[in-house]
Amino acid sequence: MYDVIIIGGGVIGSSIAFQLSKRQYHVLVIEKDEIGHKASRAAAGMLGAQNEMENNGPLSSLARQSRAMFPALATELKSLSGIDIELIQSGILRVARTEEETNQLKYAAERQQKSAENATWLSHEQLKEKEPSLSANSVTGALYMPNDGQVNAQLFTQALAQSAAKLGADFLEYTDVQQFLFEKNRMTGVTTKNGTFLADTVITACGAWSSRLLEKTNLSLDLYPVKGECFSVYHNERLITSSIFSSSCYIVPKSGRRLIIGATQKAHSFDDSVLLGGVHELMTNAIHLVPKLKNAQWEKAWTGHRPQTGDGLPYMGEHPDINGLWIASGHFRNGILLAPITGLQMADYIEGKPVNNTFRLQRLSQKEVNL
Amino acid sequence: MNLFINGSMAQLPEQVKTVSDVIRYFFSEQPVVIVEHNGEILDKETHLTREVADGDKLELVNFVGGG
Repeated sequence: MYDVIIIGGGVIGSSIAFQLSKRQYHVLVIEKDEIGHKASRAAAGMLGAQNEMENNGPLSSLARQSRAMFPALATELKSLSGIDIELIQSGILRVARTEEETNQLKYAAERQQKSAENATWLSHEQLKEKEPSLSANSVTGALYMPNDGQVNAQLFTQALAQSAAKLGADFLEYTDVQQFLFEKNRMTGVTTKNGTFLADTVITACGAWSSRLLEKTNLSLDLYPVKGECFSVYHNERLITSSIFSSSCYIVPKSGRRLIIGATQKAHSFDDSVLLGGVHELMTNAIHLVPKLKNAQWEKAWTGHRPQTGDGLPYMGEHPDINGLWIASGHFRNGILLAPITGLQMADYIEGKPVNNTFRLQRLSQKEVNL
Repeated sequence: MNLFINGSMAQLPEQVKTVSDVIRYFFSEQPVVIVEHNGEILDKETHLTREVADGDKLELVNFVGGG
């Protein structure tokens, strides 16, 4: 008998497991694959609290709280698991290539400054000085957001899982959940091919796979995959210091002179293949921005499936009909960024603190095709 | 008009006539989009003129998603 069973050992499930374990809950994480093997591994690891959240909506404040948790969390995870999550706080540069983009980003700089964020418009000359490898004739300037750092998404997920394990959480990999068990409308556990596990609290954190699983409970979530393709390269020079984000690709400098370049987006696709069409377009765009990338050495390409929702907000709340069944899924391309605050808030909810209405499941919108 | 977009059915308004219209309907800005129309990958130049009809299958891939 466990206090809490978490289905899904990605960054969200691992973060919740970590926070609950810190509060002395006995937690079991059930993962159908390996820990952090799907979208959590595919992410470039940008912490774009400003870059991703243009509108000052409910997700924006959550994202900023979450971003602020990273420095202390990195230290805590290092001491518990020994893993360095490679938190790099060198910011994101959102580059402009047209007059229209220039105006939009200058306006974004003003708006962000008004909400007390560190955001600066860099002119062409200032940008050239900051990032000499950027092509002089392809960009007009950039919005610099120095506080939007980045982590190694894979190591971050492993560090959360191993820290949770150190604090007593159990992890069961290669195990599919077959059925939810409940009595009347009260959760009692789950069945798997490796046995039945009992707990009166179960949290579904399977990203894009959550909707299929929850169909077993007659819940139709507006949650779907958005396939993404990325690739990584090595360059013997340190080409850039900040992550570069344009309207056609991003380039993220990782440790060891490695760079991750992404990303395509294809909604409603669980396809795992990497297609040349997308990679070719990304390569062309990246080389156009940083011409020296022509000399970069290929490492590998991969896909991931971001969990997107109909209204673009994650689901963080309890099942409308089954007490004790919770959902934390649908963080789209911000799962890494939002993992710390999601872990904290879900642990609060399990402890009985009031649930944030904005992210409850009851807001379920009409089903329509979104891209 | 009903179109199958990336395998899901989508109902689009009657004003949508061409592949360009479909792109404008789904994406607010004007991003680079790779389009496959009934199995054929289109050149960007043909997006404006290629007409879509009820029941057509479209695969749309656009660029940049952070995270």
